[in-house]
Amino acid sequence: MMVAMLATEEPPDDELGASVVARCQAGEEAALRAFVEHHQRAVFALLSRIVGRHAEVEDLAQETFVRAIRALPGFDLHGAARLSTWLLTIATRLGLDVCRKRSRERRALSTSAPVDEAAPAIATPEHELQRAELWGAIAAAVGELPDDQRAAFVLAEFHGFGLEDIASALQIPKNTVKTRLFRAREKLSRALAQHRGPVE
Amino acid sequence: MNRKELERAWPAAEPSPGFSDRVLDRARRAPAAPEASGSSDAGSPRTSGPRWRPARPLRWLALSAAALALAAGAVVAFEATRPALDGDVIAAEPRTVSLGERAVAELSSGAHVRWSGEGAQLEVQQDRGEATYRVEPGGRFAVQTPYGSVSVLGTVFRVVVADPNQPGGEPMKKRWGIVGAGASLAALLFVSVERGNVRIATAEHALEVGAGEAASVGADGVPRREATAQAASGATGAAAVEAERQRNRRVADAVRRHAAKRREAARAAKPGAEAAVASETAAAEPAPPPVMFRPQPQNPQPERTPEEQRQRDYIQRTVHEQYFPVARDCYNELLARQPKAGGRVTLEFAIVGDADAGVVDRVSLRDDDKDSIEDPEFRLCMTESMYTAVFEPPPPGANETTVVYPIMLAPE
Repeated sequence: MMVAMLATEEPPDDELGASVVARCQAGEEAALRAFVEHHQRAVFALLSRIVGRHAEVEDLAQETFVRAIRALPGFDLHGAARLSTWLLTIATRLGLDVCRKRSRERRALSTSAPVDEAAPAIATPEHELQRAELWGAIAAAVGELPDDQRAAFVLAEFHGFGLEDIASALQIPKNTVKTRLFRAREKLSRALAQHRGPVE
Repeated sequence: MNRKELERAWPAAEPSPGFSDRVLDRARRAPAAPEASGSSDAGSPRTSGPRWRPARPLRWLALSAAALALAAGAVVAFEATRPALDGDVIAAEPRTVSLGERAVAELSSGAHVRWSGEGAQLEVQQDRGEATYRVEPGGRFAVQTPYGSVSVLGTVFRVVVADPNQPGGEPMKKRWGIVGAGASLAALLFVSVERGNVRIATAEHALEVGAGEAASVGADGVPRREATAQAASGATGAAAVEAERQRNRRVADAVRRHAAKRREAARAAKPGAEAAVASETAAAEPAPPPVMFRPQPQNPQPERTPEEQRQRDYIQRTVHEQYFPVARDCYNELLARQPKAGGRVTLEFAIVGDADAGVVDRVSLRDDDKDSIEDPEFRLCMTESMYTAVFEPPPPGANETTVVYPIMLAPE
């Protein structure tokens, strides 16, 4: 089945320590700085893959952290939810809000995977061309995914969210998450079918 | 393609230098007013003021706690923060939250509540799960649910809302200790009142419920009085609530234990085991008549003992209540892909005994000529969804009950 296309990997367990989070909850600046710096790359990665690599990613990331800092005192340190999952849920919802607002004029996210990015070291010009084609195929396929499908896919494949966490973040039933992931993977799988050589 | 390759192929934006400084500057300058509406940062309550300061003095907290404890006669754990006038909580485990300054909610695991207040007014939106509210008199307090609203002037009451995302969850009756039959089984909203009075209102009906009473709202939107386990047994409030909680925990533990066993068995499974299970299951119990998502004439039924008939009716009713709503979603998703899809599928599963609950095991869809739907996503959805159902334990002396359940599917 197509679902098997993308290998799933467990994200590293790199949560901030409970003592740091407790200091964040008390409003200690050094701890809050550590909190932001610890999670900023994940938040940028998530937002840029949901809304595209636009200038507003920085604004959305700032907004995510400001909201999180305000709500942190109420975060249940001993609860089942991981801090990173909670933070990325805030980012996801902010990102999807932006997507919805601009849905009418949304263009395909051709800027989300530009072919002139720094390329990995590949020996020959032919390989570089193939790699560029691959990125182009992914960009086109991803750009065609509906916002919610793309968000579910990004949360699952890049941030290790389980079905329940995705359902909670997107506020949809688990079965709908399964369907969205299935369709997103299927579409990307089709898009990649022509470019299997360079990546497998 | 693994994640690293995918990340290389689909690069993300990186934070620019000084990002954390900009965030912290902005947090310092953030206004004290509650945030504008929009997307909610669910998972933890929003505080109404900036958190860029040490925790507030404990004096206020102690006064507040004393006032609420006196008013409600309750012992509750307070959060070490000022009660938020505006918040959003999905309880990952049982917890107590303060709603504004005159109400406290004890949330069960999975409950989702949002609240906002202004002056003495407080409105709570409870989307799912169970919450017990203790409210001081002093202004309007209302709980809005998807199935009706509950408004009070000062009381202690419990609201249980069926989870619209998990219609296959445990039945309201079993899970929440409602002893009245009939309407309770299909209840979407259940309210019991410990003290004071509440008014339950739906689009067209309203019902006042007093202390010691309970009521439910079903799919027809009509509030009806119910007898509670507490009222029926004559137990004291606290003892009945505790007994009910312990029972809920036992049921949840039984389900978890079995899920762990199933995962373990799946890991150890060898090829061929599935076929053996299927033939054993098919032979064990006569199939209930085909059940359609739309009505069809039933075949004549053979004679059964009253107990056999009761058990058969119980399984059929439970499958209807817990599984069909989810199965409908599976089928609707299939129709979105294949608008003309329809036909018969035969579900086979076992109800395995545990001390406290019957849990589902070995679910499969029969693979034969009579089954006309082969879509793999649909079949996976149908079988996985069945695992969410919870039944009464098999009869004493029986290790398990096996069920073969044909279902007819046709577009509306």
